[in-house]
Amino acid sequence: MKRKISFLFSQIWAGEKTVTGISVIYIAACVFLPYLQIFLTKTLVAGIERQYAWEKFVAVFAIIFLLHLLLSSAKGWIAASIEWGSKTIVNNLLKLLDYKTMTTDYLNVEGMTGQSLRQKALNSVYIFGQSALPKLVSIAINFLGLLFYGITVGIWNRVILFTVILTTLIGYFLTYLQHGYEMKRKEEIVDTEKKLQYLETESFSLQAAREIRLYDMSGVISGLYHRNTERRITAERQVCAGRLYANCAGCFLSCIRNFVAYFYLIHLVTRNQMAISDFVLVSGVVSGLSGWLFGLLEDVAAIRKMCLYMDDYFEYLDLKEHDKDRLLPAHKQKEKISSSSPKLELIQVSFRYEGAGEDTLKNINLTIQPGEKLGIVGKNGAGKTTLIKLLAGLYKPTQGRILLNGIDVMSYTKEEYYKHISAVFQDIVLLPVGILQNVSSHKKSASNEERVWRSLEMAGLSMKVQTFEQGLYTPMRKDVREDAIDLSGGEQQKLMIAKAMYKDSELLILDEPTAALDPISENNIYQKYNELTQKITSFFISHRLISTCFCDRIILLDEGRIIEQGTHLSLLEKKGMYWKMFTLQSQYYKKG
Amino acid sequence: MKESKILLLMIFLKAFLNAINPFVAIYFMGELINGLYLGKNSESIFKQVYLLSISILLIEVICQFIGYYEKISIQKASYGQSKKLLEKALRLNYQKLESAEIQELLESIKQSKFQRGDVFSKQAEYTETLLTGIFTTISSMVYIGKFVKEKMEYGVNPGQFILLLVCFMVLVIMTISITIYNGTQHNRYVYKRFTDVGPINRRYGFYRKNIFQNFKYGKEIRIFDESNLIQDEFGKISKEIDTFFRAVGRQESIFRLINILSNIFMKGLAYIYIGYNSFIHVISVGDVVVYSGAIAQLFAGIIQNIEAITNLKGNEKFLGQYLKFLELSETEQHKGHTINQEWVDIVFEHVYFKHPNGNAWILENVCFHISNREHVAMVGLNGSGKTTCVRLLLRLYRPDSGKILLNGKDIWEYNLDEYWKFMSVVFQDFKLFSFSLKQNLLGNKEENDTIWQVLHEMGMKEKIENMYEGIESCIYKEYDGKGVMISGGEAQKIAVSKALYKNTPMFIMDEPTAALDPLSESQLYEKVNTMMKNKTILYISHRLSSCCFCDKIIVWKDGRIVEMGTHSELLEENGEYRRLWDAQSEYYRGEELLI
Repeated sequence: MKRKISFLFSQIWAGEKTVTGISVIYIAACVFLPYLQIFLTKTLVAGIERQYAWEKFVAVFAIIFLLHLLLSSAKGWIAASIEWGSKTIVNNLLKLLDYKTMTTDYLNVEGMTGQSLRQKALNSVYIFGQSALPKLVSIAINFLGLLFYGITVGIWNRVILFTVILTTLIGYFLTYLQHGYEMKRKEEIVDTEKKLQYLETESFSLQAAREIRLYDMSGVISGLYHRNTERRITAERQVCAGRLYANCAGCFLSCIRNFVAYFYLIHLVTRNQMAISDFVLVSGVVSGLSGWLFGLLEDVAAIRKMCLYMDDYFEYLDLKEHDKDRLLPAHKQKEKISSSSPKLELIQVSFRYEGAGEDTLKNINLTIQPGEKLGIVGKNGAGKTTLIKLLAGLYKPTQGRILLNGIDVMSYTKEEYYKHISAVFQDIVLLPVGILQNVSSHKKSASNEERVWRSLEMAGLSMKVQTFEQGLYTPMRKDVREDAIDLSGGEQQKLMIAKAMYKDSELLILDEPTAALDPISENNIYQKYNELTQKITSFFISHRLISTCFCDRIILLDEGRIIEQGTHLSLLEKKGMYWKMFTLQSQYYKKG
Repeated sequence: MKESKILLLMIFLKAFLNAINPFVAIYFMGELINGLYLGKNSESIFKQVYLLSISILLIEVICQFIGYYEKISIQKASYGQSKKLLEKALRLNYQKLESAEIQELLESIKQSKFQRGDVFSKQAEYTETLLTGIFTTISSMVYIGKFVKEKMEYGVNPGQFILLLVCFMVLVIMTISITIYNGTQHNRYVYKRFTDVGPINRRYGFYRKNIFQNFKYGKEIRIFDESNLIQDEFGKISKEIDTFFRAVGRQESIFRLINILSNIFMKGLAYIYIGYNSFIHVISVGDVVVYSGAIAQLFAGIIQNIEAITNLKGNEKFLGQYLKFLELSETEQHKGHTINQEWVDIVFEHVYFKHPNGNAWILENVCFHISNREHVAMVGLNGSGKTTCVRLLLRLYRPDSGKILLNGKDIWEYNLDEYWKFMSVVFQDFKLFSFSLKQNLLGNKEENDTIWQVLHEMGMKEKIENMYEGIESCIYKEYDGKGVMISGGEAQKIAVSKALYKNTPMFIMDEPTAALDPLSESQLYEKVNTMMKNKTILYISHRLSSCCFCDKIIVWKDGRIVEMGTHSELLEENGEYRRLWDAQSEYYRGEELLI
């Protein structure tokens, strides 16, 4: 709780210094304004009671009134800033979350557990982030208000003060009980809200829209939506009912408190121990007490709930990183990769996904020579992609070692190792920024334009880019920004080649980069790769055997094991699994 | 309808009690002070205390109860509206839903929901404020009337009184006009800001959805060390949004400040006047408390009214977005001819199609014929028009000119529900929902032997039987945390099973094999071909190997059909088909010589 509150404070302070600063004025204004209102009435009464001279009456009144004006203006002015400023805090909190997403172990974002944790954290940010500042301000106001009013009452009469304290404590206890019940329902409410969110998202998605129409799914979806809203409303009803009873009890308590207070005060006035104007003041303060109290109780409940949501946020931010297991300190790493195309060795490498019953990769032994072109083929689920992710440093082996030029890759930090890897994957996502940044992967200031042009040239895209008015600065993605230009599928592939070439790393991974392309574009792209990877150690993964024919060596994976390896021709001669697959795929073409 | 009436009643009652509450305290306070001042006996004073405490308790408890029902009713109403919106999206004409205009409308509805809060709850909130304001104004007017009456009874110079009354009216009118002017300006500004921020929101949404949410892209971020670039770019966008929030906040500050200043200024003048009257003993001390309270309430009420009205007006624009979507006309689903389920004969007659805002034809003069039980393939480069053609056939798009005939009648003349029951399709980007497998496969229908047979054929039976709740198990985690993760290949098998189970006379496969390995691919084709032997099938592919066994192959290029015929006919023709074939089979034919 302490950590969370201080974390919130630091975030709010970092994001909105001015707003936080003026919040103090706001708090003071909110505490004193109602008091001033009572005081104003008291002054009116006192003026008449004591037969002030008209001038004195007006003067005293004017001073109080000016103060009132000042505080009210400040309150109104700052309230709006707090309301809207607190929305920016959400963006700040998201920044930390996104940073974690981008830098954490890849397994954390890829695994279902990590993804659902991330989603939960994201949902909670919107809930607690927006209300953090207003709630903290509000609890300060209510607490100070209660304290200030309590002291005011205490000065006048101990009995009233005692009643106030007693009823407050009982009220707090009741709310506490009710709050415990509410927390039990929170899980259910959050779960239902998540479901509703999913249903809404799918109903408006175009991809789902086609399926919904052709398979008459609208009944299923609106049925589920209806069921979940019913559940949500029932839960809300139960929570609110609990709150209702607690609040009603609070009303009774405040009735008792008011009654006791009036009784004593009138007693004092009739005995001439108190002026009527003071009666106005103290009775006003006493009846104001319950407002502060209710407010405080509500805020405590809200902040507790906020903290529960924050658990989700921290759970994701605190996801374990495996980097700590690295063997060598960072400064020793620079010497290690010297030759331009390094040698990679896999020694008895096994890999098992978290929670899986068996290893996805089993006891893999493989040595890749500098500059070698290695093809990796196999059926769906044979372990190709897992092997690639191990080679790329996205996963670490469950057992065994991977050596880069004889040194265990675990001794590199993730970031250090990634520096030596380039990769092209099947799904291309261009960013809505210039071609320059899309190729260089870095900010404009950190990009080398000349090198970008060279990379585009190598990928065969520079002619096209030269025709654009803005050249390298032409933004991509027309779906996101109006001023952008869209590239065709083949051109996007070429842009990805340029990106890989720009990085100019020693190891290149191609993970089915052309699966979504038509045959002619596919051929062009493969020829390009063949030509560009002459001196680079590269890995080609494909389920289309034709794409890997030109590799120096092909390994065939099946059920997590390397079952055949050799060149395309030697594998065909073996008449094993590779030959079988190849025959199957080519049988249609032979007819031609 | 009934729900909304209850809600209105709740809002009405709550507003009334909210307005009355301060006056009860004011009234009793006045009585108490008068009693004390005049030195009445304690008994009658204590009677006032009883009455005060109990009436306040009563009002508060009733308020709590009404508040409870009101909150539930608002939530119900708000979910009810969301459901309407959702159901509209489920039924709306697909082509319309896909249009840029509607997509943008939906995006801005979504964004303003986050940035402003739920538009329906806001409507209820503002309505309540307005009513409270009205009741407050009326109640305080009663007191002011009483004050005027007392003043008259005391006897005043009529000229002076009229002058005072005029001054008072002028003050009230001034307050009102300042507040109204201020409110209108404010609303105009806020709505404009919300419209201006649209393009930024779109980019913001892109990063949230396509980058941070997309774990696949995480590989790229890590390997290419893109986190700096993305943080920088996204940082710029969130900064712009923050600036927007702050600007709206500043505007709101000014808006509120002006209202407060005019309110307090008026209140101050009124206080002095009342104080003066009491000073010259026109009214009693207790009445000072009552009337000053009433005056304060009057101005608060006026401001409240006007703020509520401007807020309601502002909300109207956002509410308008919802209504605009809800009022979109729907496809008439239940009218039209019934379909002869026994026969499929499809003819495309000079069909042209383009997107509403596009200039170029996506399909141009498309003519072909599919006869009953024919197995037809469409091949061609990406973007050559195959998928659009399928969407036209599925009545997702409507041709701009030309006709598509089924059994001699325009497909648009058939009952749409029935028409869709007549076709099954496996889309290129098919979608399985994170619901139970049963709901994915059967919708709301009951489990039966046929579906298990189909699943068995597709090799999924065992896998599904072993899931935690068999066919009732949810897949993926988005909907149900317990859901089972399935691989891409398995998803595909389920998608095909779904289409096979639908068992319609017409069966369409829109390139669903792109993610399959050769072995699975050939198995899938064999299976579909044997299982659907007696059906009319349309295959769409860029993989030419899937075409050979078809009765007819249609070759597409740039939105037109360039060749048509059987595999061997087309190879002999030496045209586009030949070119594609050669490109793809180069390696294999080479190997043939080597083996």
